[in-house]
Amino acid sequence: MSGVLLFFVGVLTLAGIYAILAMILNLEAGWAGMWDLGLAGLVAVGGYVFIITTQQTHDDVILTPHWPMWAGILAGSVAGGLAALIIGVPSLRVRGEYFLITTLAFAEVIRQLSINLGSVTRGTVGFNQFSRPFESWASGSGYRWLLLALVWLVVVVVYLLMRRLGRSPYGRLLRGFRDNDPVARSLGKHTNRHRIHTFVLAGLMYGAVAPLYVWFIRTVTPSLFTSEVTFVTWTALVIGGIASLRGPVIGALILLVVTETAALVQGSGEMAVVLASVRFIVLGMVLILVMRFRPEGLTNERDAFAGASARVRR
Amino acid sequence: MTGPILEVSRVTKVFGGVGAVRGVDISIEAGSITAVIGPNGAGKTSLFNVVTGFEQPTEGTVRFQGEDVTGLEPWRVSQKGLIRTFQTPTGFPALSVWENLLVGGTEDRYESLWAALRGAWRSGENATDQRARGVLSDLGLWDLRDTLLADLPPGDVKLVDFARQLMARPAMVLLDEPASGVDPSSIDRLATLIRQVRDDGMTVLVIDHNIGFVLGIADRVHVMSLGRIIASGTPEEVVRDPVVIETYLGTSA
Repeated sequence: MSGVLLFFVGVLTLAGIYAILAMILNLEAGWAGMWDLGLAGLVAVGGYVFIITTQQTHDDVILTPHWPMWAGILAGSVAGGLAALIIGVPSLRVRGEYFLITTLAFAEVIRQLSINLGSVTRGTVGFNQFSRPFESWASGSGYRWLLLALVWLVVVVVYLLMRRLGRSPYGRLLRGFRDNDPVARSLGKHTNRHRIHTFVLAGLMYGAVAPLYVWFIRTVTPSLFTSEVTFVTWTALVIGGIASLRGPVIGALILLVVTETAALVQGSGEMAVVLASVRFIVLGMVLILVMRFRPEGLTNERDAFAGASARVRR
Repeated sequence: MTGPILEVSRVTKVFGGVGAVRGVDISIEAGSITAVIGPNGAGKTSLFNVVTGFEQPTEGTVRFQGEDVTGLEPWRVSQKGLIRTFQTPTGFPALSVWENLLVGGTEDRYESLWAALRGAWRSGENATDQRARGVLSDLGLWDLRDTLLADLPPGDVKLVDFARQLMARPAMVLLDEPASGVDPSSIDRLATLIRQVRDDGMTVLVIDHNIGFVLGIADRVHVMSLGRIIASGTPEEVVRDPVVIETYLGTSA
């Protein structure tokens, strides 16, 4: 019984991590209209920079600065922001599909680098022994609860930040020029500068939250940052309601609970292969059902931002 | 009348060998309402695109308030106070009428990511709110303030398009068919508002197919055909011009 309970603690932790990623994706894609297909690459940059700068146990790599954990988180965040700046400046100058392709390619380049730069990243072996924060407070199964609380604390912080941004004139402008760039430019708005600021903020945030993912999985290998991370995040966002406020959290919770529970089904050896693919079948089915009956997602932009003029009715 | 605010000199715009605008000279007096009329394909919108930076001219210069603005990016032209509307009624469809106006009226410093993080924009919203309320009332759109633009009929969207651009406090506004699709009862309100902003000191340049509407508000009219200005004058002079009657008005007069 406690095994099942701990399993769900893990599921909810992973759901929280995806809720955070989906909220960041909602900022750049849902509001600012930048369809990022390479968020896994930005998370990878943050994760690798964090682990390389802070890990103490693997001394067979070139770089072992042994930084304290907070410095590693900061470094991972800055690296994510810098990566976003470097890919954002050239690809956002030309619109739409170029950004999509550039980000997709970027994530693959980062993955290949993490495999081939073995002297820095330990290649496909990766890092598997490193300390996690607050480990002295709780051990074993207790730590899983602690990590759950930590992740959902970050979910709340990121949610409040996104609400602050979404309801500000900045958020309003993003949701405006997303649908009509020429009108925004005709009003004197430097829309590309706003796009670059937004994408760099997204990069900083993906980089900053990557350690949560690393602490949950407990290894850092290239297979952690495949395009599956990107597509699960996108699916969570679409199910929950793109461009809404609560949608990313609701979508991630539902998607991860449903797909991970499907993986819990036990079966014989021959069934293992079938069961391994059940997750993706369930993921696809959830997506199809939501698109059929709630095409805007479970929540929507319209309700999330209704009543903006309320303050002048007094 | 205090001298020209906009001077368009020998502007030519060629698309793939076809001259959409061919050597146009126009000088606009500050504080006037000027109309450009002409049949479809005469080059009116291309002229607007060149003046506002959305297209680069093949030849010629555009001076606004004595400053050369030829080939500047649209947002820079706009920040100098020269603001246009568009022929197609779209605006920001996911925003309400109210939010559309606020985007138009909000200054850069309140709209940055940094201002949003600090929450430093609230002090700027109050004055913008009051202006938006005034403009919406003038256009009879106050009751529609919470409606998303996506849910409005095209005619009302056109009115919001005009209102939103006004919120940016232009020195001169270029209106690309502001009355097309607008229902007749609202056209009078639109004409009244255009005259009112002119009386407040704004310069207006307008393109429209509704000849009655255009001739009713314009101080001066230029007639375009095949990329050239073929006649200029007061509305009364232009409607009597034999060249104009032959090429354009002939069918409708």
